[in-house]
Amino acid sequence: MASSNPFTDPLRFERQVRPCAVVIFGANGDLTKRKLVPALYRLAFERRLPSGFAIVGNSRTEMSDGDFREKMRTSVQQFLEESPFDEDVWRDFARGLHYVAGDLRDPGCYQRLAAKLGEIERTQLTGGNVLFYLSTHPSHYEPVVEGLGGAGLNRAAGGGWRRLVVEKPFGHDLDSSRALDRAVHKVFQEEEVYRIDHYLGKETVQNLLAFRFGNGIFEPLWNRRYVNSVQITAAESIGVEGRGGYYEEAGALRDMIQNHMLQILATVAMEPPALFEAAAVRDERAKLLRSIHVMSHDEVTAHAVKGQYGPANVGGRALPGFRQEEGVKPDSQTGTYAAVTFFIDNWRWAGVPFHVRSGKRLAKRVTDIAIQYNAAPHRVFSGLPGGAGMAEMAPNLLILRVQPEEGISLRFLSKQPGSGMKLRPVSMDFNYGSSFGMRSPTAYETLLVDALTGDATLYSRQDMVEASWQAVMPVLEVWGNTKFDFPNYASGTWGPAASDEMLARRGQAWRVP
Amino acid sequence: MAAAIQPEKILKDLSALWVNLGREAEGGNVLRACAMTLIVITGDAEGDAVGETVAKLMREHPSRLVMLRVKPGGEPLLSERVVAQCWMPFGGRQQICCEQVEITAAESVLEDVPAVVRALEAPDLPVVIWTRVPGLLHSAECAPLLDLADKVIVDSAGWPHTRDKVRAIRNGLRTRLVADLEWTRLTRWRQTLAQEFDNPAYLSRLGEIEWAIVEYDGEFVPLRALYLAGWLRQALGERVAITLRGLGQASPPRLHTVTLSGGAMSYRMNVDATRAAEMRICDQHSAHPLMPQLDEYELMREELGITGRDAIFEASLAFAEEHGQ
Repeated sequence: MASSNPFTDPLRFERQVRPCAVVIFGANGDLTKRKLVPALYRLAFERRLPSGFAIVGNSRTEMSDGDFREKMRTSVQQFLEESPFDEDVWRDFARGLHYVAGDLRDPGCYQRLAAKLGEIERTQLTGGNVLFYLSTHPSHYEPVVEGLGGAGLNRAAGGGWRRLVVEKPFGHDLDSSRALDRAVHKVFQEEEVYRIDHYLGKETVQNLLAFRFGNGIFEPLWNRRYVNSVQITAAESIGVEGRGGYYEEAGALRDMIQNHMLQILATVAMEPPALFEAAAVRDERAKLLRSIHVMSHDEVTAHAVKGQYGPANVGGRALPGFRQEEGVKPDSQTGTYAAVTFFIDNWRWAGVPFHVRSGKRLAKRVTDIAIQYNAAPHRVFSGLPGGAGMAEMAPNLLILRVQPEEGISLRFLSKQPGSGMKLRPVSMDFNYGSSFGMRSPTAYETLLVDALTGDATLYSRQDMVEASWQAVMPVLEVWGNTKFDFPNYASGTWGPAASDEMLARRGQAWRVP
Repeated sequence: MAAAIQPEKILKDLSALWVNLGREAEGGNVLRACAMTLIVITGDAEGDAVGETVAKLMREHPSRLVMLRVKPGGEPLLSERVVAQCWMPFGGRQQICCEQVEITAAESVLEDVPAVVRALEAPDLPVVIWTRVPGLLHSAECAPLLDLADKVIVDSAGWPHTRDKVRAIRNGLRTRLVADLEWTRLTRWRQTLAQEFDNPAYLSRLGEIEWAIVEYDGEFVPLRALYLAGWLRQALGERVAITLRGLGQASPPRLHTVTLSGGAMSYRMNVDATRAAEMRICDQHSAHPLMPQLDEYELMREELGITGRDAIFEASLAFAEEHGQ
């Protein structure tokens, strides 16, 4: 009996998903419609899904398989990114779509699910392999996991694999994150749990690993000796867009910084892993997250700024303030903007500030990472007539753009053409998408294939989640006990003045990305 | 006649090209992208179609492109021009451009070309030659040109006298990477077959297979069929008997069916003339509607993405040399 497929050609074949079923809890929700099913369809379009592949959707709404297929067809046609819709591919793909209605707190729901999975295993030869995807409201996570355990769905009788994908948030603070983890671990082993952070699936975030560890030139300059500071920005130009109720509970710190941005920070600052494999990469990321200095309450005041947008007219359009959004309290203290300066307590980064900011209704939608290098130790050109002037003050910047135009830029000084030695900053650009000119997979395509093939490299581990919560808990605690005078920034700006002042106190300033 | 083309002048023209592109951009940016030198050797008559193919390739494999058009006959002729391949991605603000040098040479002066091309290589980047002219791989005049390459890509489709040609490819592999687009055409066939055996239920029964048949249409054994048989031999080992069987006289020759069988285990993949694929494994039937005939762009796109040795291809090539006619 062959233990591995002898026909495999890793040089030319895309990674293939083996026959399996994906059960999506929350199949009637936005994430399923906008991201998950379009991503799975796209994988089918690229012939990366096997013929024995099935999806079972679950939600409370009563629907037939046919209704569910029709609904998903509409979603795929609407939300497929940079891809054609192919009728033949859809017909094949839709054959594997099934639906089981049921309340997640009803044990009968899991019995029906078990019966459906048994039928799929027999007809589509999935070998008992099942991926459960929690795309529900977080309050359902624990009941679902208990329900799966109660019905014995966490184990395959015939030896197939069972995996659980959990969407963020992983708790709303350190204690609740630990409680969720305990509940999950009663039913699933840690290696079966995939905590998804879709930022880590973005092509540029992965390219950051290639950039740092595939090249010999940058890593020697990647430390406190050469780096003056690091700025990580995730700005949205839109507001809460109908998610006021959710956002009122979460806020920018929980929604963005505790997870996505600290994962990016960890990718920027981690030590090189010995191998590019899940355990080694995740160990280094976890080690870095544990090295983030946990602030005292006094330090929080100096190193963190909370903001909330007010009403404004932007481009002739009257935009409501956060407190005027549906589902938001009129005296809400929720932050729609958060800026935190983190420090990393290790040899490589001691003393280097990592300024992290995220907000809604900012000047534009952009996510990037800027490594600011120290100025040249001696200003050779400053004494010349018409010399460098302010230009010589411009630090070298290495900018890693995550979205919207993924790429890498290096800013350095160049001599301006003409007589005299006038310097001016120039930018050397590498545009990721256009340089390769090919479609990049969406983050969900990447991460779904990873989970389906058992590669957890780009998924969070519980120790990483806990370390991230530990890093932000003092900020949450101080902010929870402070009454803020909100709103404190207007839509279409780069956030509250206090954020600029926070950096100005260190002689620094936020970049305009 | 080599004096008719001066590499320094071409380089100067390339330089001027970038200055002009910068001026024409009127405040927008022009990005220059280059990952390799791609030398395309083509016949005089097929220029436009190749031009479209390489223009599409530039987007994924930005290169300094040297298009060498070979004119038949002994009339001494050598000429050049420099152009840019530009595109505006995603309706964006920045224009991406690659440089293209076109050299036209008569067969009789081909030996003068390598000196010109050598000076035009983009420094410190790999050189890939894609030759669309049959027979160039073992022509003495072209040997110095091929010596410039880190990788040579040929297309043996339609080549008769298989063993000679296979030997030429294998000889080429001694000093550089050589790829054959006939092998690239097999990727989807191979992947489709491989995918079925990802299923543990079928994988566990692979040992039951005793014989494999590769069937083709055509007047001679297409190299593609030999490659496929070589690949099956690698995967299934010596214990499985492999047979190549011609079914008809289709032109151009094409692959038809792969059958693996033994005991109660059987697998059959058939692709009909409309490219519709049909598969049957252990009486389970599945239709795979997508088995399109890939054009040169798609084949080259895959091939340019492979920069290292392809050990599976090389072993299939060795099988083809051993069993070719």
